[in-house]
Amino acid sequence: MSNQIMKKPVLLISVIILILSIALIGCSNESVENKEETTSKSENALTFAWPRDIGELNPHVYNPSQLFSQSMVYEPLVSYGDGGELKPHLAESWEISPDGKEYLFHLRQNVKFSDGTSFNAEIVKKNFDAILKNVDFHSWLGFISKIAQTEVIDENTFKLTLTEPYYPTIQELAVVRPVRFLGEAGFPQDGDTSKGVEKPVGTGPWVLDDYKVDEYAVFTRNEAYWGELPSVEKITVKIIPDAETRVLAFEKGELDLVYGEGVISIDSFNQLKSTGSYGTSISEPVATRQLVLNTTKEQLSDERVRQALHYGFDKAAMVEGVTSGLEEKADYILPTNFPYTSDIDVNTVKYNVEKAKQLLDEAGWKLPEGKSVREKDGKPLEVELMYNSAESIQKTMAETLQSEWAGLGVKLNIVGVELTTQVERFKANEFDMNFFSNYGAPYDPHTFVNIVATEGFGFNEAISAYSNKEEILSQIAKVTQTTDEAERQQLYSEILGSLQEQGAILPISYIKKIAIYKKDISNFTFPGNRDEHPFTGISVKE
Amino acid sequence: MATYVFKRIITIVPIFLIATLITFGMINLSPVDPAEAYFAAAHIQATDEALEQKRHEFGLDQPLLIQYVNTLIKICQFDFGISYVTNKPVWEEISARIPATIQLTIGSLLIAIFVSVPIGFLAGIKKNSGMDHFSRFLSFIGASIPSFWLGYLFIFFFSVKLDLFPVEGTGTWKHLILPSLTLAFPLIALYTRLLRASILENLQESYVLFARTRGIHEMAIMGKHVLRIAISPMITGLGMNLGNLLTGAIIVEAVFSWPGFGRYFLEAIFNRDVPVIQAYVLLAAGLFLISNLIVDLIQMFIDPRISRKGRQFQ
Amino acid sequence: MDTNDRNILNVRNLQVDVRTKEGSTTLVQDINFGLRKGEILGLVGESGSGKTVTSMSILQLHDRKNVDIIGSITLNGRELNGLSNRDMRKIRGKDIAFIMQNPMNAFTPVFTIGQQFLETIRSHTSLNKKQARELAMDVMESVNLPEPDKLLKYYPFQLSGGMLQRVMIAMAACLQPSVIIADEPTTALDLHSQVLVLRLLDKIRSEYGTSILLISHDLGVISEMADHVIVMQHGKIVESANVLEVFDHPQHEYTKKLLRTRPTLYSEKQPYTYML
Repeated sequence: MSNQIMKKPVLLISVIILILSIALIGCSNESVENKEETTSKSENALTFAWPRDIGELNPHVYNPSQLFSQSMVYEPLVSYGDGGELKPHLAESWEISPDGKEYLFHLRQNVKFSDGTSFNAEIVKKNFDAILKNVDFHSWLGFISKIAQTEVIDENTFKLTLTEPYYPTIQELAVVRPVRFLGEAGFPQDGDTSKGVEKPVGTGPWVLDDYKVDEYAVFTRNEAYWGELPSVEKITVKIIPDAETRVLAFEKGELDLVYGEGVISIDSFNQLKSTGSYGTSISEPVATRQLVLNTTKEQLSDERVRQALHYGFDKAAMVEGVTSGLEEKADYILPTNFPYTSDIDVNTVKYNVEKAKQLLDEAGWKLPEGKSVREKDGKPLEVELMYNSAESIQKTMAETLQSEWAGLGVKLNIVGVELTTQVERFKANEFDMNFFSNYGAPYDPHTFVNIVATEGFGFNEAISAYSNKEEILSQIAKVTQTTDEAERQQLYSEILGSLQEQGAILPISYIKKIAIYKKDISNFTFPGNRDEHPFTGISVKE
Repeated sequence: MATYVFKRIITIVPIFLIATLITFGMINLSPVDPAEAYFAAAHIQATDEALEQKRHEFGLDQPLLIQYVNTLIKICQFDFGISYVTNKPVWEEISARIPATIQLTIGSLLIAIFVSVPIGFLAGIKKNSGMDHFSRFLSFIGASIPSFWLGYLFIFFFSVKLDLFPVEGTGTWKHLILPSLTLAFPLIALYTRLLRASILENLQESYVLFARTRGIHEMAIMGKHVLRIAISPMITGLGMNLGNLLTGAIIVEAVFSWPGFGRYFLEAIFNRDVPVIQAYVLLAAGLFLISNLIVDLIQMFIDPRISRKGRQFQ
Repeated sequence: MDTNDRNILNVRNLQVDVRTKEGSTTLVQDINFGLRKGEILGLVGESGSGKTVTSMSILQLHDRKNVDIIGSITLNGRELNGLSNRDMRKIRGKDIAFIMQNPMNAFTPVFTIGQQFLETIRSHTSLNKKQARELAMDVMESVNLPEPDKLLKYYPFQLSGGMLQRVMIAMAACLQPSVIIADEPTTALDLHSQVLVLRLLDKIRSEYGTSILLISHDLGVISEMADHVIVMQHGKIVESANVLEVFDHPQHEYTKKLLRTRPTLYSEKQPYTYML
């Protein structure tokens, strides 16, 4: 019998524990020795944190691949700079036909992929064709569904033909995904990159060197890069999902740079900034945080009510208070540093409680004796604001509005929902008020106005009470098609102006990116393109 | 004894089957349409035709019984489907992350055992001593502080301020200490007191007195006889927590950026990645069953009364 | 009669006080008795009379913080009262052995009889496992325990109360102690086992010359086994005489009461029926 073992169970258990402990220690030691060595050897390296795993390095897919990492390896034909300046990148120059449908690109010569193969019109076409295999998947990007034909004219010339004129094409070519280019070796046999890539071969300044899912990704600079070689030789991305842990890691010195939107709490950022031991940067506005009012709801159908709500809260104070100065009070529904948005003629709303009350009175919402909520025809002026429960800024702003508008006699109910629910209810027009923010560079302003016009997205239905809704929609349809620059500008001014004047889209604040970094990091600049990486030009003092 | 083990292993099968049935039932009862969830996770606007096609692909147009049987067959082959988000086989994703979670679990179990047993033991045999008060204090902290806060606290003191350990991630045994300690703390809080109470109970027993009358060294009585018996409830408790540890170290994994499957599960929920969620539930059920079995087996070794029939010799 | 020098065990003026929240309470006092070689001294009393306190005091197994033992307890001339635990440990189990009331609970349930037997032997001798095992089996054989080698492999719960008690006695006798204190050795057993146990005790006494302090509230057992009897009540000795005297001519009221109320046990014996 196994009495022997029975008699010595203590021994057995000790042996088990010993084995477990050894296994534990043994397992963990493998790659660390190498990692430790390499990080200490090369001083010209930078460590950076990101909340999610970088995902597959495939230029033609979306979630869960992370934008910044895709932008490090893959490049566009055209790049989007500050203020909307469209600069040649992989395409040196281009010509657009007078009817606006044909685009001829002269590709940059002597550009090589990281594996040494040539970048030419053939590979450009191959990439476009791979994208077109799944048009529906990519149709969110305006010009894709309008592509009629892709042609190789010669080794360095590529022609794109559209079914109709669409001026934003050049701007849209700057996005991080999907219209960037994979080298030949990366394509699977059937050319369908939606299933995956063989190797992440790109033309960009960085190549993937080492990668461990959910843990880290190491990029080294592409020594054969056609453009300006990065000063930094290596970038290590540590995957740290928790915001507090990111702060702690940075404080300890395990990170050189923390960058992004909402990557660390406002309090942490300000606290670190106040120590004076780090460099900090805050970007220009990247998007506008907006409040969307559903004009199909009775309480919100009257423009005067909407205006009153806008006048009725101290925007500057709220933005300053909630974001601790990280965001800026917004006067326009799109930040003014986008193409065509710098000169919109709208009435800037200044905080004016008296005016708000007056407007409400005019609209017939009066405050009965002894009550705190205005009424009209026996109905109270009660509305619901929906916010993303995971976003603390939205929540705090909702609470602020609730108390401010109570002073006007407006009862605001706030409800926190999950992101997916927020999106669904917006689409189904099942809301009174909702938070929204535009996509930013390089998608706007055309993507924003497209969204507004799209049925089933949320805006189209929300602005139904606008007197000139049809006119706005037709203007939106026209603005992307016109080839006349001046006309385009005028249309945008009218569209954006009209949208804002009638009060269904209320600008609250400008969202900005933040960055905080060790003092030995210099030349940190925010990318013009909201989705791109921030490593251009960055250097580490040795 | 072998029959006992065999019997215990056999009982896992029907329980697991019931778990699959319940999971299958819940997924089908929920209002989430897997086809819609798929497109939502991929951020695509799906047309009705696309939805129909996806439903057919998922086999959703077949009778429920057939779907269930197919699911069962696939489960036996460890085929849990394809992740909606990454389009890779779910089992591949999960099994890549299991070792990390197991490492963390074992680490925290070891810490829990090596801390709880001595402290609980000493607190028990020397009631109201310094050690006893210390164990009370420890339990109070461990029971009242939420694990994420404890985690931050540990990182702040031991990593940032004292520079003894790295902040997060994996790699060396040093990376394992803080997360294991954080995960182990609530266990330590519970089990030191449990062991202490168990020991105090046992100190009253006749066998302790008898051993003393035989002239056995006090420490031998405490360490050999009393501890052996008193540790039994603690082992049962730890075993039950083993299941919890394996499946629920989510918070600790998030705070310490530990690449386990708890973290992965969290993301799957947020992304409505149904196959992953389903696989996780089944995995959790399986792990609970296995850890209970392991505990029972250990109990068997420690306490011979369980596996033997009594009174064989008059 | 003062036979102190010939006594193996001598208890003189034993008093045991315990400190409680309220103050100090005396558990037993004026305890005087002696045990000669090969003699069986019966200690009779109801629960709470102080029997256990007395035996525990001899073994010095009291709570040293709260309990005070005053008086003299000598074993073979050596004073036990006040000895350190370390020194007492050498005596317990070797020079003075103890047999407990409930054998089922006395043994540690998770170790085999053999493990505990050997443990006892090896705590007091320098024998190795094999030698200790042989010694144990010898003793068990000599007391007519069946199949000693199989017996040693059993766990306590696998044996009957009677068998366990006999093993306990074998264990107690193994190292040839001067004194065995048997605390209610038959109380938890069936009649047949009781007979076996008592016979065994007798055998040990006659073969090894061990003195036995037999504690029991069972007068039948006392009358069977004891040479001399002490009756205790409320912590004091109320009667001390040889067995025949105690049963035929009880002096103290309490003794008389005890004798009156006992149930008859042995059919051969004439029951003493005193009318109240």
